[in-house]
Amino acid sequence: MVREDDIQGCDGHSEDIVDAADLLARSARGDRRAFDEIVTRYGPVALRVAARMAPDRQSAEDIAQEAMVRIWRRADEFDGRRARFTTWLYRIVVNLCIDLRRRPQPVALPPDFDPIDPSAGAAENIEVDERRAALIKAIEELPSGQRAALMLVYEEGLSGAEAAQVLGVSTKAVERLLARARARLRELLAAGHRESEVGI
Amino acid sequence: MMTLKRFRKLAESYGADLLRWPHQLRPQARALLESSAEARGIMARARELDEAIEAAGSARSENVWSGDRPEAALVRLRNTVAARTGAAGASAARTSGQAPVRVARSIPGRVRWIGLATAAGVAIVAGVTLGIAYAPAGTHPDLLAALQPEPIQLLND
Repeated sequence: MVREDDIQGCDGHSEDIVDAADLLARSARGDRRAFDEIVTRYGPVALRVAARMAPDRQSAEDIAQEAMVRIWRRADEFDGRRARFTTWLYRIVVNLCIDLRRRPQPVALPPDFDPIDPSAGAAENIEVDERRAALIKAIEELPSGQRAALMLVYEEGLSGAEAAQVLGVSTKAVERLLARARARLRELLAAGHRESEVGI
Repeated sequence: MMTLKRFRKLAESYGADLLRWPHQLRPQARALLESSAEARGIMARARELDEAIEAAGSARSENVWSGDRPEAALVRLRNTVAARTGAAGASAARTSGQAPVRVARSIPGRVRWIGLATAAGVAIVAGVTLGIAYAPAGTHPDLLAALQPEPIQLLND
C-alpha cells in the first residue's frame, strides 16, 4: 500500500493532508467543529466530483451530502497512515455515483423535444455544439468504471496510480479502462467527422 | 528505450499530456518524441481527443451548475449535513451505543435461544408458585374450573 507521504497530493499540499487526518481524528471523537471544517474544506471537492458523474445538479448535491454524512459516521475507520483523506473521499463519492447509475433512471426526453434554434447562431457553431453534446452524452453513457477512470485522470488530474487507489484496482486496469473509454470516444468523433463531410 | 508500441499504448490511455503519464516513463517518452515523427503523430491525434474531452467536461460542468453559484451549493451542503448529523451523534458515540448489541451478537444463536427458553420457564414457575402461595382465602377449590370462561349467552337472548 502506498503511504500518503509517498504520493504527490492532487491539491499539492502535504500540510492539508496532515490537517485532514487530524480533523478526521477529532471528528471521530465527536468534535463538531472539526467536522464542520471538513465539510467546508472538502465539500466543494465532493460537489465537483459528484457533478462530473451525476446526471444532474440535485443528484450531485444529494451524493455530496451522503458522502459527508458517511465520513462523519465512519470517521473512526479512516487510517491516515494507509491512505490520503482525499483518496477516501473520492472513493466514497465515486461509489455513490456508480450506485446511482445502477438504479433505473427516468426516461430521457426525446431528442427533438427542445430543438436548437437555427437562428441562434451560425451553422458552424451549431455543428460544434451538436458534436460537443454528442460527446457529453457518449461520456455519460460510458460504463461506470471507464467513466470514473476518465473523470479522475482527465478532469480531476489524478495519476493512474492514484486513480487505481480510488477505484480499488491496479494501475494497469486503470490504463485499460482509459484506453477503452478513449477508443469509444474517438470512434464517435470520427463518425461525427464523416457525417459532416458527407453533409448528413 | 521505450518502443513505439509501448508509447502508443500509453498515449491511448493517458493522452497527449505527459504530466498524466507515469512519472518514471516520462523521460523515455520525451526522448522518443524528439527522435520519432511517428511518435509525434500519435501525440497530435491524442491531443485532438484530449481537447474534445476537456471541452465536453467544461460544457457539462457549466450545464450542471448553470444559474447557481458554487458558494450557494456549499451553504446548502453544510446546512443539510449539519441537520442530518446533528442528532445522529459522532462515530465515537455510535461505537459506544452499539457495544451491547455487539456483545449480544457475539453469543452463538443456539445458546441465546436456550437462555431465553430457560428464563421464560423460570418466570412461569415463579408466577404459579407466587399465585398459589398468596391466593386469597375463599378461592374456588377447583382451580381448573375457576379458569374456565363463562359461556357466551348471545344466542339465548
